[in-house]
Amino acid sequence: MPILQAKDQEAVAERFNVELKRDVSLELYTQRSIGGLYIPGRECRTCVTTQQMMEELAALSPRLRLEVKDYYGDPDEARDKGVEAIPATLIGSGDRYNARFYGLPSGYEFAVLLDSIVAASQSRPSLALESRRLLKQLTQDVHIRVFVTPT
Amino acid sequence: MAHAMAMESPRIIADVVEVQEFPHLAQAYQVKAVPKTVINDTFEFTGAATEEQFLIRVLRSVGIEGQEEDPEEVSGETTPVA
Repeated sequence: MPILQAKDQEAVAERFNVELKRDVSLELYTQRSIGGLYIPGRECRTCVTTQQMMEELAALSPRLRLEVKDYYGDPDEARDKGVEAIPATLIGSGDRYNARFYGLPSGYEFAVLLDSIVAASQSRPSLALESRRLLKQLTQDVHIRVFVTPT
Repeated sequence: MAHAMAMESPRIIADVVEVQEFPHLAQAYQVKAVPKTVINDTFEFTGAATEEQFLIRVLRSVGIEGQEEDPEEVSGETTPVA
């Protein structure tokens, strides 16, 4: 059974069709399913649902590419990308994956996910001109963590 | 907002963390209400922020001064974490 209802899929596909100007990549770090069994200490309540959601989303636009990564199978790659836990969805374009979700983006966070995908396609700047000018002053790396609950 | 900034600047990585799924992270970062924002593990605030407020806090976290109220102040609406 799909996670996204038919009318939601239609609305999202329409938005992507209009607003995605460049290809956007989604990298999902999850774990390989072993028939619903989990190794103790590696339980992941939302990995399967998150993967299904991302697959449904990726199917809605030819501009969206989804790559599913095995967190435990390729720990070096996860470490290189700074992935700390799963499920983790990295959104990017080209080699940059600067926006990430830890957990299932449901409720309000689903809307944030859509906005972030659109922003990654850089069809239009999502920040004011002055903000973009100030951000250019950054000479050090900044890691922002925003903690949320599902709404 | 954090994601929008990450898309704009290659210097910024922005994570949105669902606290109920990652209680160990919530505990490590002492999340008592959401949204809570932590910048470079040291600078934090709870509640919503406007684009300008958020930006000033990001810049301040790396020593670029802006003019704003006390960044530790709780602003906007927050939800306690059970």
